[in-house]
Amino acid sequence: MASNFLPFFLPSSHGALYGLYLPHTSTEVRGTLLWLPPFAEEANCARRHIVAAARECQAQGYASLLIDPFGTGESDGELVDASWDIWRSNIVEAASWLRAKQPGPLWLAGVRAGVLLAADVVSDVMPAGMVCWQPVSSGRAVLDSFLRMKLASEWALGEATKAMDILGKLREQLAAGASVEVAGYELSASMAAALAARTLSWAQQACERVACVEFRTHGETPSALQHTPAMARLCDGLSAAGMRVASLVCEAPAFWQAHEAVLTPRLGVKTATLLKGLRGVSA
Amino acid sequence: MKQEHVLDIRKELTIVLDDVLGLGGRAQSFSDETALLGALPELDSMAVVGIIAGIEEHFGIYLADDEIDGSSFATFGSLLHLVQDKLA
Repeated sequence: MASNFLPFFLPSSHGALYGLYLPHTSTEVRGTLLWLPPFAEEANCARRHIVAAARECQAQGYASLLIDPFGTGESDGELVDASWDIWRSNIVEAASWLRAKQPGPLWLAGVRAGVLLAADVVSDVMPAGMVCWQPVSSGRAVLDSFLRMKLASEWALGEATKAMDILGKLREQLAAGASVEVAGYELSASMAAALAARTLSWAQQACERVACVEFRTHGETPSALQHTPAMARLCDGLSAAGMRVASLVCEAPAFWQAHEAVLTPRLGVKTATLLKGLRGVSA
Repeated sequence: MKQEHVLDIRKELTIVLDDVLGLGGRAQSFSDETALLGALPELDSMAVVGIIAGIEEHFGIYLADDEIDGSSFATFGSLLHLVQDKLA
């Protein structure tokens, strides 16, 4: 039986990037998904959930490429040496590879902070559309959460540390141009600044279609699950900017922030169904 | 009217906790005395960060560095107090 996934190293202008390619396994080819992971520890937590979804998408006619940007995962380089522009370049090169490997409409599938990166390369990659899995609200929020990890880990140890003592020091370091180390991740001042400057500036993007997927678990019945106000606002904003928007709430735990989260079946199938609707049956 | 507003924030906060911690509705039965940090196994450091971000996003507020304190995560009541103060 032919292997239905291929781990490999993609040669890039910034060293070898670890990739996982999953070809479609359907007779009908619908397109490809280039998955952009969340930031730092969230990428670790989310990885197997993304792979599980990508596997489901194979049978739906979508090939997937998961890529570790420079300085993350198994790819070359250290995080401290990464820059936002290197990451953008990684994604553009990965998209070229994916297009050569499997023709068809290419979707940029961002997860959490990966959506910020996806939005930033839309004009270079010119995808058929974007998939936004639990998008972050802004790069500033991503950086805040990253720095707060240090604080929360002290609290977990029972230390009654004042937030200002920890966060203030980290922010001072960054302001002075020094890197900071949080939970084993060393982030440069320039990367922190670049991240903090990113917002989902959709209106300027030439992206026609956007599929937004939100994951919630609160105690009501699944049929009653609705978008959070933040997600509803985002979808409204995208529609107002002239994009075709399809959205979905899936009953699933916040897998990007839990190492042990149980895999939720059908997240890939549901995402693929959303894309089919956006493209129309002929696509 | 004031009372109604307070109850609403309580309900919204339980939704944030259920969502972030995957409690499947358990948070809806939390009382002010329900212990969180150190008592709830789901509440590790990533989850704490997730709750702060979840509160910010859900209520459309920003919690500055000097507004966040470990003691706010001691009980559901103390966390509720933090949000109520911020929205007051």
